[in-house]
Amino acid sequence: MTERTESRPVEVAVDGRTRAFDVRTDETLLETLRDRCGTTSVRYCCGIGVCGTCTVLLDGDAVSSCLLLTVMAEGRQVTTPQGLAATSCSAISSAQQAFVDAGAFQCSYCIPGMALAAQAAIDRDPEASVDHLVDELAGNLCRCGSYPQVREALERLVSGPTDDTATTPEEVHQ
Amino acid sequence: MSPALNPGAAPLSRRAVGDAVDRVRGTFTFAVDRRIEGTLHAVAVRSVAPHGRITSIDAADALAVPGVVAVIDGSHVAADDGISPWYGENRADQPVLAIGKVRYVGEPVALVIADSRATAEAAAAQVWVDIEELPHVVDPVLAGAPDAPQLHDEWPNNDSGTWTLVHGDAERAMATAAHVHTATYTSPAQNHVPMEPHSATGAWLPDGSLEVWTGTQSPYVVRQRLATMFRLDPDRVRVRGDSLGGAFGSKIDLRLEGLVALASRAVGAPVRMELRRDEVFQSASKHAATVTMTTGVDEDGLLVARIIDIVWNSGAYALQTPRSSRTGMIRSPGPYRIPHVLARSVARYTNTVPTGPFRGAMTGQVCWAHESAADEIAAELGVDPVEWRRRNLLRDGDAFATGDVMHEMHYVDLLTAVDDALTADAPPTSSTRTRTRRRGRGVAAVLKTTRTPTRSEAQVQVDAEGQVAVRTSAVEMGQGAAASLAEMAARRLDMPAEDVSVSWPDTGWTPFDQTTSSSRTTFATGLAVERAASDLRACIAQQVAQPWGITPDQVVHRDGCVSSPGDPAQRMTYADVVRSSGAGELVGTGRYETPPGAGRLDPETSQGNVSVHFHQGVVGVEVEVDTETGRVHVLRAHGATYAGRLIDAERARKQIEGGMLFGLGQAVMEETLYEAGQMINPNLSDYQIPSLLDVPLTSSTVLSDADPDAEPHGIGESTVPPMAPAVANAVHDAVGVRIRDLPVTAEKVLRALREKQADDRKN
Repeated sequence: MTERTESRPVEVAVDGRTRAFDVRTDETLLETLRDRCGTTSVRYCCGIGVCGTCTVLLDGDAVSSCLLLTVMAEGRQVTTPQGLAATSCSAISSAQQAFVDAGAFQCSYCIPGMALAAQAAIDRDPEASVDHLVDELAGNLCRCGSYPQVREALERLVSGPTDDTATTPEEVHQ
Repeated sequence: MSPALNPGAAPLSRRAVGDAVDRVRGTFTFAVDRRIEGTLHAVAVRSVAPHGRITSIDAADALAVPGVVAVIDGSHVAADDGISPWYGENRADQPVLAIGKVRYVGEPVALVIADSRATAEAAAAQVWVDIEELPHVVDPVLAGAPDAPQLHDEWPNNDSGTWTLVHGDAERAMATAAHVHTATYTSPAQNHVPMEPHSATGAWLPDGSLEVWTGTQSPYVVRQRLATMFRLDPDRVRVRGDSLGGAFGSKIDLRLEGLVALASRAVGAPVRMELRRDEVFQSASKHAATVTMTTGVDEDGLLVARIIDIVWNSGAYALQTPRSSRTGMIRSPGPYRIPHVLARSVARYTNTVPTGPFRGAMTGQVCWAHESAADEIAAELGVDPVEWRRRNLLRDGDAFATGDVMHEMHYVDLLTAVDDALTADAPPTSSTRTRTRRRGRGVAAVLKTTRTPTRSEAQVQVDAEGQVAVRTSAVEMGQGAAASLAEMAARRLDMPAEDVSVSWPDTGWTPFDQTTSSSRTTFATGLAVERAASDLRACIAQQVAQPWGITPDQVVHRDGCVSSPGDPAQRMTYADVVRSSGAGELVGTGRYETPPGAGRLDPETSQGNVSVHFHQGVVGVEVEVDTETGRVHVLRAHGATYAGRLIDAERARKQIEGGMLFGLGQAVMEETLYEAGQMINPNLSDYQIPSLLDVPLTSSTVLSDADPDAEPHGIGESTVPPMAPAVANAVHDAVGVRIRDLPVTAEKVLRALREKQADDRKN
């Protein structure tokens, strides 16, 4: 028989709030967020860092929390999809708003990670093109096939906030 | 109080319209988010052998791991008089835990129950299972051979369902045909890949009843299976569901629910399970199939006869296969007018992952055959494939292969819409050809029956706060069922849909619904909800009519209020009506059931009324084939379907276009691969699904019926099956090679191109 993996104290800032945990050294950040913090917006899907569903920002960079050990996040800033706009005055970020406006979801399990990745990409390069954002989101999978609406969301994100009088994409095509 | 131990708690309900912000931020929750206090965690020990006898299971090392509470295996289950461990829809051939024998790699052999999932996972690796291996078989055709390994003693010849369809005299008519075409089309096992893994929590309550929280598409089916398994009255089993992060058929019937109930029974505490991705791959599969289709046409290219032989791979256990393989066989002639049809279907057990319904269940496999054949026949006749279909597609009044006289047939209009969309605004194919990249177009059509017979029940109620709640056991899994049901109720009550909440299924509270599958929810559950809402509306009118001195049908309903037409002072909100009624709430009930006899088919010929209506889909694609690599890039796709009465155009578009993108994976990428009886790609790196980079430009047409009394038709599956044959037909159009084995991979296309070049040089 084997001993249980040893634990270690760790401090991580989750959505702006410093949290202290005693974690197994092999515990992933995904497990910590879901099982210890009750975070629902960070989700398991592939477990091997290819689907993007568990995306979080680590000091602003999009990473797969299923591959990151919590002990490696010691002293760092973790941002989850539900905490993305926590420090701003609006409830949701600009990328999230674009996804809402485009109706870019079906079951929506993958969408928070996808919108977070889009936010990270546009924040890093505010002049990014839609094609660039599509490349950035190649590692965020959706099984329902919401991709056409995701693309619409990226188009909205690139063109900036629209007012109520703006034409809809359908009208533009005509 | 933990919710599992609170049997009186009302079902969960939520606003179904206007939840976009929660869904995008991630505060919208799913079955997998359901956590119950005091829960232990179970992890399955799974078979590493495809076929064998279990000679010993040694759990001593696992039990010594701190935090492990119990390890149970099939011997414990078999020895427990309170358990009937074998289950299945048509035949009880599957044990909840392997008993004596394993039949596929990944089959649950034991359960480790511990205080955390990580502990259970670590300990599961220390349960030592000895298996005396037996010869195995993964190919369903080989499984039918006389000397093939036999999976189930009770079911000889690995037969998990044999059916025939006899319409006219196909063999005689075939002999008179002017032209006969024969080919065999194969499609592989594939995985549903719901993004959310399966999860469930089971708890036995002090009164001996069982409660299970689970991510299921079919709560009432799960309730029945658990009642049978644990020898309980169904009322003593409560199945509580939640939203699903995708399902596509993988969460139908018993999945984890039997295991968590078993584990909870063993340890006397709630027990939770959640699958890893590799376990999701090992839990359910699409049926691989081999379809041989012989088709006879007359001098004008009109169909005269079709003979179809189908072999399905059932996997290690039957589950729904004995029924569903017949359904697939019935759809195999395609949406065509064929006077003489003979179809023979056999499903075979093999040592592979058990199968289940897969979005557009049992239809993709046969659509792959009849739509590839359609283009081949048209080519041999020198007719445009769209024109050939137009001549032969079913129209109102035609007889289908079951003898059903067809109604509401819209195939020709759907085909025209797709053809127009493909030919509009696009450069002619010839001008886009480069030296190595060729473009081509292809179309495909599908017919799918809906679940018949079927039954759904619903309640719509309003309380003294004016809160309107729809109660059904329909499952929201991304298809938008909850929003559609809210809107259907709201329209009947003349109130905003945003103010209507919709229950999540809970067999302790929500009324019967057969299952959320087969694109039946908007239709069957929707009609039940509309009837319940109309019943509630009548009940509300009844309450105010007499005091106001008018008849109930004179009461005006608007914006959640009732008023008297002649007297503006007589106006009440629904909440006022409830308060003045003295009742805590007013409840309307509704029910939809298919007509008596519907769905009853002759056991030998499969003739009869197979479906109350037919799902109709047509898809067209344009592809670009790289002749140096064989890679197929789908550039654009147009899907068209008939919705009957349309509930919401935007959700319909998402289903039609999302369906094509789901089908795209099956067309060009997906296949679960076996080596030495073991699935070798149970992960999203080796089993790829479409990403944003693979997505074509999509567009759609939804035909609908403006009659407010028309039936809504399900549309969630109609564009999935045609995607693969449309792509293969487009590849043929582009480069002249015919792929008859799915998926249409670059390797297959390249090999076919090289063979064609060699043949061309010879000629």
